[in-house]
Amino acid sequence: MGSKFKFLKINPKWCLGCKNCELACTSRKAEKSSEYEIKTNIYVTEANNIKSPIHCRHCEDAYCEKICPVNAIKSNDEVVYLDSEKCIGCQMCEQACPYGVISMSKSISDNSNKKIASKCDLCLDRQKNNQSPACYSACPVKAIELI
Amino acid sequence: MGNCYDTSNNCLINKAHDENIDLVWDRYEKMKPQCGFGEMGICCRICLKGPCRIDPYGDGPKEGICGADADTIVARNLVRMIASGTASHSLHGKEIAKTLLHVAKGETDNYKVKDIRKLKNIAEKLNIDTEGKTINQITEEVAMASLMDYSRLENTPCNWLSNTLTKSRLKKLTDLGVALNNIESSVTDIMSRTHMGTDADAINILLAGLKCALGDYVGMQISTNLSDTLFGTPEPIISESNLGVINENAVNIAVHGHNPLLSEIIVDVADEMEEEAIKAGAKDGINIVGVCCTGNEVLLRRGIPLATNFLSQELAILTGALEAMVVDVQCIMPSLAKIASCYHTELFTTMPDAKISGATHIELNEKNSVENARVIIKKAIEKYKMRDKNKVLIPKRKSKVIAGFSTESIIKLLSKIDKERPLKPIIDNIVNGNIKGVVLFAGCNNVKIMQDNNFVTMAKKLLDNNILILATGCAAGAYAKNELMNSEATFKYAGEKLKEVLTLLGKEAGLDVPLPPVLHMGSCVDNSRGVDLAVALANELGVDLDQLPLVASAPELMSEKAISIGTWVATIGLPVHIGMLPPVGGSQLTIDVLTSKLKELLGGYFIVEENPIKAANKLIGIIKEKRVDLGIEPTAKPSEVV
Repeated sequence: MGSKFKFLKINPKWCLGCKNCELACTSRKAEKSSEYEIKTNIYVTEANNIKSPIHCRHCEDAYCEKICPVNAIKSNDEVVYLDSEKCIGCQMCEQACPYGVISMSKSISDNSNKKIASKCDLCLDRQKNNQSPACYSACPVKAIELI
Repeated sequence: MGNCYDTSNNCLINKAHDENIDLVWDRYEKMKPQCGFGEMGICCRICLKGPCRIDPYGDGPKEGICGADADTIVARNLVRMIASGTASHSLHGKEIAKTLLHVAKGETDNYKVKDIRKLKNIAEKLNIDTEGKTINQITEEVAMASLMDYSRLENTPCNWLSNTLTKSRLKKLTDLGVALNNIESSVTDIMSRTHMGTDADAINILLAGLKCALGDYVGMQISTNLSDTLFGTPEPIISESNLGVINENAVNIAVHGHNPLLSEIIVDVADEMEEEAIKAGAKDGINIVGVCCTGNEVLLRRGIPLATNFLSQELAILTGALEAMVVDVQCIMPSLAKIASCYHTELFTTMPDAKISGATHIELNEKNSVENARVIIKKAIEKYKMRDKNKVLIPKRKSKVIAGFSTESIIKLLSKIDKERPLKPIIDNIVNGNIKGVVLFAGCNNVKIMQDNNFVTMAKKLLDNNILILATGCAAGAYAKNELMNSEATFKYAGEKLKEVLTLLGKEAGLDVPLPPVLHMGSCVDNSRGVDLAVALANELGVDLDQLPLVASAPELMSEKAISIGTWVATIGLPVHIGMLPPVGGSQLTIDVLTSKLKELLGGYFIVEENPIKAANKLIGIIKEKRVDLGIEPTAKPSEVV
């Protein structure tokens, strides 16, 4: 990869399902936003007794990017990110994501029904400050790796 | 996988989904995945430097911030579970002992000594001289001797420990330093030694756990025996079980929890208020049904039908035909309040230490219990008028149950065959192999296992191998609901030889039919009955408990009480099968102690096996092994076993 940013890689073998990554993701968001409900962008799941977080893969030719009618989702330096100012809450990206890791957040600042998409931005703000993504830092068993 | 072995419950589970009501199974799905650190017992929340977690894989921390390693953390967490289980069972016993004392002193009119013979037998067991004493004096001395087990300062063992086990077992416990002298101090001891920076030696912590678990045993002996004194010793009784016992034409009141002090009064008062219910339009009057161990208590003594055991307690409300659920302590899901609010059902809490928000709290203490029980039943009758007939759905299935097999009633039955040595017929049949051995099933339901499946699957396999089954608590509930506690079950499932014995016993008991192949011995505090029978057999044979072809199993364990029961059962020398690993997976040392070191020390040990068929085979193997060691199984070699 040519990006200057680090990406997540999961090793399900190590995951114990403690959900620390989910908590870290939402905690970081809670520090930043008060207008929309806080949603995690990494989800710990369990199937066939295997626990594993699922997360945004920042796909090449990302479906979410292609389908967004207002170009609120863009790629830059291999990171697929959402411009929440532009988002109109149409849910197309949520439906298009093959991993099911985009969700909708309702506005909590007024009584409107406005929603916007919520997706992983790889903690770019943290990475720019030489910090790791919050979920990676929070994983006690290093089931999340950075590549 | 279905949720319940008994599919008749499915209509209510579907009903809940249609009505958007979450049940225990839905909440479990939402909880998944559950935290692996908690599952392995390697999360320590004991001090505020933490929480600390041990990385079980290698790269991360191997010790907590204070330096405690996985063994210390797992052992501490485990013994704290034991302490909680012991506290629960022993407080149950203490409440009953206090009531008995108040009866003796004439301080309550609501209770009296119902079984004077049992009282005298207890006095004899506890070495209390009864000569020339009044019933009240004996009652007071029995109550005080029992309460002494909660408060003794001297280092002598508890009365209910030293007088209920074999001599050799008591010696083993004394030599190991775990012969408990005081129940409450053992709980305090666990909380104190597991405080940050105190006991860090996992083995020493686990030994304290054994000692504390014996407090659970002592509390159980007190609960069973003093309840029998107050409310009567169970005798075989015929009743019914499963949700089908809820009667559409009656005011239905469920009693749920563990303590018979309350449910007995409710049953008494309901009899008096029958007419009032009929006047309100319920042509069959008042129908009391049981849930969990309160249900078992009133089933055994009063023949009250048992509606459900632990995991399907919510479904009783979903029938839409339950006017009131009256709860006391332990194993009561707080969800009941929310579910009751979707129906006309009123949930009543009755104990000062067990309130649930959303429930109506009407306290039933010794002084006002009769008066307040009337208030509850009156309210239930009012609620009947508010029942929405369109929301009623009662599963049809119910099974016939023969319950009430106290140790006394079994011995009484056997004495019809041999008056001089009542245990001889049972010993003869064990020796000649008609009864290969005995398995005592106990413990809970767990949402992680299909409800009752392990109990039923294991029982069928064991019975087919001529192994007699005793059951208590939610295990007994599982067998009652699923048609294993009646004579038909003997025809269907018992091996040929076991069938012959049960038929003979049934005949001697004056029944035209065989005894059931699974004997209902009571609630989860009544595991003491199984021990009494085992001790009597061991004494008759001149052996210790670990030599008997007797095994215990809790294949669907859930509560902390199950952990403490399992621990004392192993401590008194019996192998204990459990259907899932408790939160000890993070410490190989702890696993080794529980599954093998304990065997070397005390004869009893834990066997973990999730698959019920494999588990049954393992128990059959252990029973064979014990029979070979006793010299009554000439053909099998230990190496061929398992």
